[in-house]
Amino acid sequence: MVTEAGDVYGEALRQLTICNACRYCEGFCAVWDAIEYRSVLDIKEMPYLANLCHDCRDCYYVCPFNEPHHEYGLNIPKILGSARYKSYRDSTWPFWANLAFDRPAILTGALVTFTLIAMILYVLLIEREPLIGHVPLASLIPDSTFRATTLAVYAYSIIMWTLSGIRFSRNSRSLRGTTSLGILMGLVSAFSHKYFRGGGVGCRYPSEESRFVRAALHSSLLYGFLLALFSISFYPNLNTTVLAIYTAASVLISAGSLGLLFSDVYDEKKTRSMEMYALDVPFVTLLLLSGLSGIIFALLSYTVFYGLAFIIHDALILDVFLLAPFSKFIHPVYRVISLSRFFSEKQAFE
Amino acid sequence: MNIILDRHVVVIGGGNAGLCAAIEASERGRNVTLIEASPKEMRGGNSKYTRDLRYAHLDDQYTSGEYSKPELLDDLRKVSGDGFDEKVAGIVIDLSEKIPEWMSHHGVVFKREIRGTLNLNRTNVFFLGGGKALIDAYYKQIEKLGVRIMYDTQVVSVDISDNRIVGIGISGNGNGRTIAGDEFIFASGGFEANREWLSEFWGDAAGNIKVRGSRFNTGLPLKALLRAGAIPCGQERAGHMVAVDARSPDYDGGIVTRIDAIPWGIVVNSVGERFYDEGEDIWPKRYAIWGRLIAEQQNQIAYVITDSKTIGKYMPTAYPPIQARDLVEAAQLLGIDSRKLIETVNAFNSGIEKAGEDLFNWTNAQVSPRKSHWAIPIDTPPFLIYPVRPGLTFTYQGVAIDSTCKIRTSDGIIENGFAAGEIASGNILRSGYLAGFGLTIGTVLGRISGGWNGD
Repeated sequence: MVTEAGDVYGEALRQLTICNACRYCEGFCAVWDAIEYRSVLDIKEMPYLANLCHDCRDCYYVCPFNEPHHEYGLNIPKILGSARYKSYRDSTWPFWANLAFDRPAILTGALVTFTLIAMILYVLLIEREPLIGHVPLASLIPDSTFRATTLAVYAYSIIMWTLSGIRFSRNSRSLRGTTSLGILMGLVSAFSHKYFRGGGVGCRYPSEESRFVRAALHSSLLYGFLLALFSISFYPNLNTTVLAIYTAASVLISAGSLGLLFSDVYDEKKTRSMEMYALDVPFVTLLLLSGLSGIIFALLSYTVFYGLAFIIHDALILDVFLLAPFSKFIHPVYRVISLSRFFSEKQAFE
Repeated sequence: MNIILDRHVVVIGGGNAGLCAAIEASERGRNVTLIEASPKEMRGGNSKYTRDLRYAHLDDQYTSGEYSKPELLDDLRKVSGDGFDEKVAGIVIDLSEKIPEWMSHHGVVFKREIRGTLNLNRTNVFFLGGGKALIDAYYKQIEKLGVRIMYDTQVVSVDISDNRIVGIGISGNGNGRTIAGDEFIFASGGFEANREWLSEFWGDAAGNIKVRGSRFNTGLPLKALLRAGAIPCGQERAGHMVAVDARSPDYDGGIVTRIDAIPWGIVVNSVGERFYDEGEDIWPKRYAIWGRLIAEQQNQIAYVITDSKTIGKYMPTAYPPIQARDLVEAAQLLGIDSRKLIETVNAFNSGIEKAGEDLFNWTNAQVSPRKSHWAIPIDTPPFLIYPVRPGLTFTYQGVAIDSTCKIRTSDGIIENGFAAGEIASGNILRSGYLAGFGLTIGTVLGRISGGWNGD
């Protein structure tokens, strides 16, 4: 077990150097093609290689050189998970935000508490309307305020993601030689969950027997989330159709995140980087709460609790975006950058 | 105390051949017990270090073209010479074409293409994830079929009476017991991990040999069969021995111990002298020659010395090279007399004849031994050095079998005793090595032992 943060990339380099002399895992994820493109691996590229890994464990279960039985002591999903965590932490701007990666559960909990109180106070103090009672949503949060806040939050997330992405690329030389076709293929493979299907054998998550559990759960979460963003853009005109779509999206988010949380509990964790696990659980929990509160909000429409449910749901969604650069929500940025570079390399190599 | 497995097929060895035998027998309605010497975590013998299978085929979905039976037989003859059992070899080659489909039905996933450095796309099929994926797929099959598996159990004696095996003695889990059964299939591999046995002909050098395969291949069942009258097949002293990284573990180093750099540099022994033509055009078919060459050096150690010009010319190594800024530092790091090392390298560098652009044609005939190809001067620091030792992959000696895999004795055949896999491969492979063919032999003979009639 690697505990020293500084040693993580060195250990990843040691393990992948052994892998590059073996290459039996060719055909699973992009990591294996990427190391074959290099006759000597460089420690500076560990963040790039680590972000091509998505902890599917196909390599672990076919490896005869694993810890604790073999002297080589390999555990690729675990060390690359730790390396990925380090790459998140090192690429975060500003530097004091490292705290977010050191104490993710506390930060998430504190932020949720704070925003809930703030939102409720805002409605009580500014809007004068009683919180409980059947009122139009626009009287709680006016259309213009909602739009402005939403745009500000999106802009903040995108700017922060970009800054982190640039720092990540600089740390791991990940943008060098990236082509537009590479970026396109990176995006397509990310959104189509190409690697969750492994080399046709799926992800061994949460157990060795699993195949497509994660592909299903993560799709549900991702596409539920995108659907929710789309339908809420109609605010405040939440007619029956929009509300139905939004509810469906919330169900998808809830099902995906609940499934992932259950899987995390069930997972025997021998291939899991525990730093990454500590980052995963609070974020997925926050998504679960967002999804559930979205369902509750829809169920309570035309009741006196409609407004309160909406405010609570909004506070949770706000937290998801506030945490975008400082939580597991950063992973799509580094993943897409790494995949884009990978496909650019692949193009050049083949 | 005895374990009586009435009407049971007892399979000894849980690698590829044993598993194929167990699956085949079990699918034919037999009760099967499989005895594996290793604990569950290290099961699978040498098979877990394989990754491909050579088989005769027409154009198919897994390979880049046709590979006929006569061509496969021809390739076998090239590496093994004559003198193998034509009948058994013929059966293996003939039935090899039926194997990929059977493997696929039993959970093995094949790759559609392989990039790799090996040019085997036409003759061999590669399985996704390598040998351990294959082994695990087969174990899953036999668990489903209800085969009883005894791990940590070593077979140490065989009791033969009237040309029938009446029982086998075991140690480890169930130490001292005898197992009686109906049929016995020996698929227990060679004896490459048995240092005592190896030292009978390697002497003290046996201690410095790296065993690339399973530490559980001690050959005790083979020894027991030979003691009980089975006819040996293949030379006892023969083994497939290549150059491996000296820093590798003593056992189970597998594929990653390989050092491919030899043609790109020079190889010196512990007194700083070259001892063989590193550029002999033997790659890759007879690269095994280097295992024996190193075994003959003092302390069974040698050093491949290359410079920074040749990085990337050979397969990456599991351990990074030893790096030195100059030859004095190199000599210090290796514990070689620096004057001698400098003399050797200078002599090599000065006599090189660079014929054209193709490095293959660069030679040095002025040194002894000469370097007949790839004579590239070693003059651009940092110097990259790989310490090498002999690495034993497998031993050739096994037991002679007939065309139904029954073990032959001086009195005839053992009616209920079969052999498959490495323990029987001496019938077909007398020397050399044909990539991916060991697994073919194991799969065909394993299935025949388990009752397959070739349909």
